[in-house]
Amino acid sequence: MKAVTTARTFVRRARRAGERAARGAAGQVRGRWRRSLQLRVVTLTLVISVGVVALLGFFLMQQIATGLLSAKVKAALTEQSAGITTAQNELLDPAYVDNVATTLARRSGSAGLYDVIILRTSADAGPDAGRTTNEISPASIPHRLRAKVDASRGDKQLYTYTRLRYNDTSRTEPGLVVGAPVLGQQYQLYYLFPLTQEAETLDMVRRTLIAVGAALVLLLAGIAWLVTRQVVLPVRRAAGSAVRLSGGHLDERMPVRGEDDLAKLADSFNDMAGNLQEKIRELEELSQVQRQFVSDVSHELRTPLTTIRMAADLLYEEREGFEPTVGRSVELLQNQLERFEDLLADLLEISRYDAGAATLSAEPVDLRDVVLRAVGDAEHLAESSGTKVVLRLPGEPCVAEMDARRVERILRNLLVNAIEHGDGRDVVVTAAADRDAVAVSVRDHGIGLKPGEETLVFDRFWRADPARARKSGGTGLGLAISREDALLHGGWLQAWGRPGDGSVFRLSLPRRVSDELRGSPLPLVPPEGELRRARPGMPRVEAESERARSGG
Amino acid sequence: MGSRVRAIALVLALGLTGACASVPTGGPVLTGHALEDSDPLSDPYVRMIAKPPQPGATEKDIVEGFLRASASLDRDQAVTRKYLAGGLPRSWRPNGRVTVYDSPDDYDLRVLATKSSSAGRAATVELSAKHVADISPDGDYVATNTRTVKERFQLTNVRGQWRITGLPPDALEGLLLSRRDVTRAYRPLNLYFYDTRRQTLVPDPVMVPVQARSELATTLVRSLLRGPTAWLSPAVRTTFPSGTTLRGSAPLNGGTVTVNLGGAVAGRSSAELSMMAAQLVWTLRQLPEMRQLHLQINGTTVDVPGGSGDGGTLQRTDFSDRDPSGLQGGESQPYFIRDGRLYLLAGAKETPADGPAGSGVASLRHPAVSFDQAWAAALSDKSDRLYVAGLSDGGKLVERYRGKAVTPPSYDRYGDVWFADRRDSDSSDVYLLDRNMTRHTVTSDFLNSSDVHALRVARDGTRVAALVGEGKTSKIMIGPIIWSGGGKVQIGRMRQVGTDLAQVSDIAWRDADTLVALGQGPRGAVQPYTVPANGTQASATGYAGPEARTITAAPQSAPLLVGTGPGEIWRGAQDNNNWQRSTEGTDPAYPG
Repeated sequence: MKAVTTARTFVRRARRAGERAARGAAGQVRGRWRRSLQLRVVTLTLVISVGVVALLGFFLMQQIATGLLSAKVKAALTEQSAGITTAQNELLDPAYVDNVATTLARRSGSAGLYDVIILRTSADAGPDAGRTTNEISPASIPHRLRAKVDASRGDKQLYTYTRLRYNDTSRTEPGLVVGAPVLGQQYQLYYLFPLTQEAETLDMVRRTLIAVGAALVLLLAGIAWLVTRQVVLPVRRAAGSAVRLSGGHLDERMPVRGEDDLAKLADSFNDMAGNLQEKIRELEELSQVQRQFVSDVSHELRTPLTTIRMAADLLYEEREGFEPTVGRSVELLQNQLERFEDLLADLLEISRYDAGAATLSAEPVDLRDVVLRAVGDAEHLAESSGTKVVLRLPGEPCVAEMDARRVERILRNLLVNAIEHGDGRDVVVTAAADRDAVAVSVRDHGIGLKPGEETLVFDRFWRADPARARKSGGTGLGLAISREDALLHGGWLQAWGRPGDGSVFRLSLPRRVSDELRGSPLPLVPPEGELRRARPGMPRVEAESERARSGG
Repeated sequence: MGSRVRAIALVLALGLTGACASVPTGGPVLTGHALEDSDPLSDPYVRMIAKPPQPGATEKDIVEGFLRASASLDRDQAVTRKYLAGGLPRSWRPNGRVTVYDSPDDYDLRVLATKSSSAGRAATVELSAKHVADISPDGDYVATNTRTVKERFQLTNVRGQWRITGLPPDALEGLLLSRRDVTRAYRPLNLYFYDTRRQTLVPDPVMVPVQARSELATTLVRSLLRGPTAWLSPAVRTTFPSGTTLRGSAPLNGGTVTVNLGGAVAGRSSAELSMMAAQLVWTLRQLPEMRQLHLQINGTTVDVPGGSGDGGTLQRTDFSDRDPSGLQGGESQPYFIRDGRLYLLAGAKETPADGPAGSGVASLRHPAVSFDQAWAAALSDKSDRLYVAGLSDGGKLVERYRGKAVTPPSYDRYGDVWFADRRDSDSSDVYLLDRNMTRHTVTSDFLNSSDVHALRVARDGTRVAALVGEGKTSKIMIGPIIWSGGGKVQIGRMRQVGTDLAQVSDIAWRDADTLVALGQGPRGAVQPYTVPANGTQASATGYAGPEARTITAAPQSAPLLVGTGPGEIWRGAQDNNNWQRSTEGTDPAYPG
């Protein structure tokens, strides 16, 4: 019983495995079918040519069979006609039946072309039914022929196809029987022609036709494959060129051969690629020119600015001695000059990034110290806006290779932004580390960011709300510079926000500058944000955009 | 690709397609081989179609139908059995014996008596016909004295149809067939056995029922293994040990017959196997499609010495030295008598024979020349003395016998001279003079009490043909020569051949199974006839003039020679159908 169940299970499993394999194979075939134009064309050609060849072959066989058999029938009728003449002369004396039969049979020659049967059908024949020759059996004469010959008038030869039977073997052969009455209805003379030769010939013809047809079909398939190659290859080449072009090889061109449709395609492709290349080059040039301009301007502005600053400092120190309005103007002047200097410094910094001239001096530094320093720097601003800065730092050191100055600048910038946009609510600074990376996030509960602004926020001179007054006079380039700094370390600077819920800015750095950052120890989306998901999909969108950006 | 290249290619393609689409009308000359597998029906045979009993047939119809149906020689006589009723359909088993009566138009059927009883109606039908011959179960065709026989058939009316319920003894054991049926349904073939000296093969004629060529070889081998017919068996020997059987059948495929023997034949020496193989080859070569023989013993091929084929295959032409006719090819040159001298006819040249026979030292008649042409025997002028002389210069003509009326002498291939001496009209002595010139008396019950006109021994030395007078007419008898121990010779049972001929004046052996005779057939003229030794019908061969007296023949293509009364020798030309005068002389004789 157990063996039976085991066997049944085995069979079931085997069947399932077989089905799986079959489905897998079918899936593979279907996949190949969809992907390959050539395969489709060749298969279609195969199918059509099989049909056509089969039809033609059938027709041809019919014609050959008819031709072969009609030739045989003609020869048979002639032979039997000669036999009838002899028989009519000799059979006038019934005693000669044996001789006539022997003579007629002898005429078939050593090739055994036919056998002769003479039937005695006269009323006075008595028990003498006639003669057969050699081993042919009188049962070979089909009833339908016998009936027709019985009823015929004596000048017609009647023939039909049948199977010939022999006495010595049980084999039967296809044959042609020709019959006619002799001397009125006294005798009937039948000639029986075995058609083995014709059957063999037709067999051979059939086999040849099948072989040739198969070869023809395969050849046609081969030709179709070759011909489609002529079309498919250029198309494939075009596709390859397009892929390479889209991958950045702007000088990729297709070779133009001849004047046909494919050549036109290549021409158009080349035109498009040329235009693209031209445009991109122009844009690059423009961008380059622009950058160069910014850099040049910043440098040029520095010198007069220094002079102006010196004069303004002097005035500032003597502001007590001026009239209140003048003193106020001098304060204003000093303030704005400071701001002007900061902006210039930032512009220079940015232009350094653009030129690719920024250098990183990284050494292992504990991130917590940097955080504390940054927080210390921003303390003054926090106090004045009444914002409480909450620190959440881990107990263990978060050491990573970093340029402390730059990282501090980043954190300062983030803190300032958070305090600015925090609406007086708490700003939470969290730091964390894992095996590969360290991270610090700054959370504020201010107005937050609208969907889509998480990426715009890092653009240069972008303001969330242009009408909002800035307390601490930023330059508009702070986050852009911070981002460039983060990228220089090989890290990420990402933002998240929800209107009314505040925002989170997270800086993640790899432990070693050369490492590729794959994940961050801190979540970008705060847990409370997850729980309070009012609109489904929004945090997901943010998380996805974060992943997309972190790749670059 | 230039347009010129394209044009050339197109022309080539057209040419090729045109060439291969039609029947060739030229080309090299090739050697052909006929398909080995074909079964040439070179000798078609005719069979009677048997008709089952028709409803409403009368008693005579049933008996006639039974006789006709039995002539169809169907397998197992299935249709013939339909004419029988009672226990007969199952128990009737013809054993191969045939009673031959004359043509069916001459027989007479009479309803003798009809009885009605509680069992139904019964009738007796009597067939009277002329009984002309018998075929024994071993195939021996023996012509008998034509006499009328009456065979009685008992019929019973079974459910309104007449059926035969009682067969006469002849029909119970065998078949009743007419002569025409026998000609149609049987083939005369020979089985070959050795003479007592085991040097020459002797044909033993048997009647074999026609059948498919594929089975004929098997039937021949089986009959050969059964041994010689009763008539010839005292005179011949078979080299097959008794108990030899044919294993399976002897198939004839593509010209090769494979004979697989078993039984006592295993373990025989190569020399004996060679003798057996010779018998087989000669017997089977009567089938024209046989070209090679493959002899196997219990399945293993044996290499038989004397065969010219390779690896145990014997060719059709092997063992030609055992030729029953004695001669091994070449035309033999006849001798004749002119002015009492023996002449040799070599082509167109006539020369007197060497030795005393040609020297005219005595007047000779009826010469006979030995097979090796070393000796000649002849009778004296008055046919009362027999002379023998060597056919070389410096011999003497020696008188070897003196009697009353000596018949022309006859040589066999071993150099024995046979002759008879007519004592009176119903007794003759028969003598044999061997190589050492010792005269033996031959005993023969028949010949010793008959009027022997001529005595001819066959070249193989196993049979003797005698022309015996019977009242006004004469008949040809053949008998086997039996050598018993101690040099005693006798002639066995004699049987008549050429029964259609009357007034036979001379006979001669042509080859081992044919005689020639000068006789008078049914049409009345005296003509040369070819008389088969197996008893079948004689056939005339042309007309040699009204004065034909003696006749001689030699095997193969040698023309018949006839000596006429006025002293002319005529020869038959073109298959002996045209006779022309050859030369002056009498008593032509071929050697042997």
